Amino acid sequence: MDGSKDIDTLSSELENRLDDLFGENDIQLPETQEKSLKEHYPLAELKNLILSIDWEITDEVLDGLIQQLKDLQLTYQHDKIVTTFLQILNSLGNYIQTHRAKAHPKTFKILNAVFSSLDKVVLAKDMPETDKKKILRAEMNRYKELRTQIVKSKAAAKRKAQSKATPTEPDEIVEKKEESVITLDEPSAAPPEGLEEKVEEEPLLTPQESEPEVMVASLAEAVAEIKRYIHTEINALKAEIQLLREQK
Amino acid sequence: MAFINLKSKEIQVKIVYYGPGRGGKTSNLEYIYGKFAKRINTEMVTVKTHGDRTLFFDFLPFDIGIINGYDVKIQLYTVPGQVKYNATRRLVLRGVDGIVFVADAMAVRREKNILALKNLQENLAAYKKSIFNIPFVMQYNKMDLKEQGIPLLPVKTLERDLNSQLKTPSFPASAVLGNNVVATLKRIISLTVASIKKDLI
Repeated sequence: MDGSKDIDTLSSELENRLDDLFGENDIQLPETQEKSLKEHYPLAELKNLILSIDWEITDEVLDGLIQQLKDLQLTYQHDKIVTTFLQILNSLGNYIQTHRAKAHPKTFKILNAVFSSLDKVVLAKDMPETDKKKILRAEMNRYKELRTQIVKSKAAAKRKAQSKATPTEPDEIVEKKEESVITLDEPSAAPPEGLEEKVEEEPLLTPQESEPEVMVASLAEAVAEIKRYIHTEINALKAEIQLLREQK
Repeated sequence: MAFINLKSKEIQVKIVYYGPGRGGKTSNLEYIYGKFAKRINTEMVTVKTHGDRTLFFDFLPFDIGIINGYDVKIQLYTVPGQVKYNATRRLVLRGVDGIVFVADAMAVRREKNILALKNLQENLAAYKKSIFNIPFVMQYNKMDLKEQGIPLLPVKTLERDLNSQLKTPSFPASAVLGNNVVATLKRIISLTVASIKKDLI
């Protein structure tokens, strides 16, 4: 048998084997499909980030949250209700980013509540618009209530601090300042542009390290990555245990 | 280079699913495992974080049987897509024989696809491999999201962004629904095995 015949035999043998193994006649397991759909619904990343904020407030998580909200606002720019939900979350995210641990304690609860409602609205495709609006209005009210509480507590703190020096400053000024902290943002609609040029312009890379060096360096970096991950997970678990204890 | 054991007549082919985070690499493997696990008689290994993100990699090995007298074993890997796990991605790429690049067709992920492809090129270069010479299949995933009204990049734009230089076979797909998941897999296995044919014959 010559070489080309061997290659042909090999190719057809391989094709037949792959057809046998991966023929599409099987019925897909519904559990798997359902699980996959759950994992890849459009709010999955946002959910992860909001849960992460519950555990630990880091720059990385907050930047991720703001970026994710921007992405989703673009994705849902034609859906006013979802966009408003996202704007509320964005305002809360910005507020947390500015105030961190000093943020009003109810903020995190409301952040989770707004997300849960958004989740409900996005997942329930058959929900009538009026019901969606009702849910949105309830979250808007919670959000407004939080805003009022923040303004009041800040004003009270400021009055207390200023009572020693200038106790006569009017409350109105304080309220105006606080309003800007948690104002709803306009959704951004700018599409990404000029990406083709980026790919074309960048030169092809030339390797500078030998493979063993790369391996050693990569291994060390990977171990460091895993260490960081384990550290984060332990902290998250500690926080969860603490929370469970408090609930008891 | 695939691992070929001439004595035991065994060949191990390593295929890596690469791409931006949340693009659907793990979903590809989950679909294959969920649908064909009994037939390919295997277990899928996966390590995930709290938020269901791939931490280290997913691993799905299976045997496709005797081809030309050699027992051909396929190993499918995914890499963690998150930017911060680049060292892990690079490690997983060691000894890779074929690549499936899973791009996210959502309009908002356009730049992330390009950055991930660039990152793949860099990481392959570290092993003195060229993205232009390795068996490669491009997959444009999440096409099902169009029905939910989510803006997607047209295939033409994805081809221009990602495949104008590589010119590799490409598939619009939905890993969640399984559309073109098997076609992608068959193509990459065929291309990869074809690239080592000389050693087999």
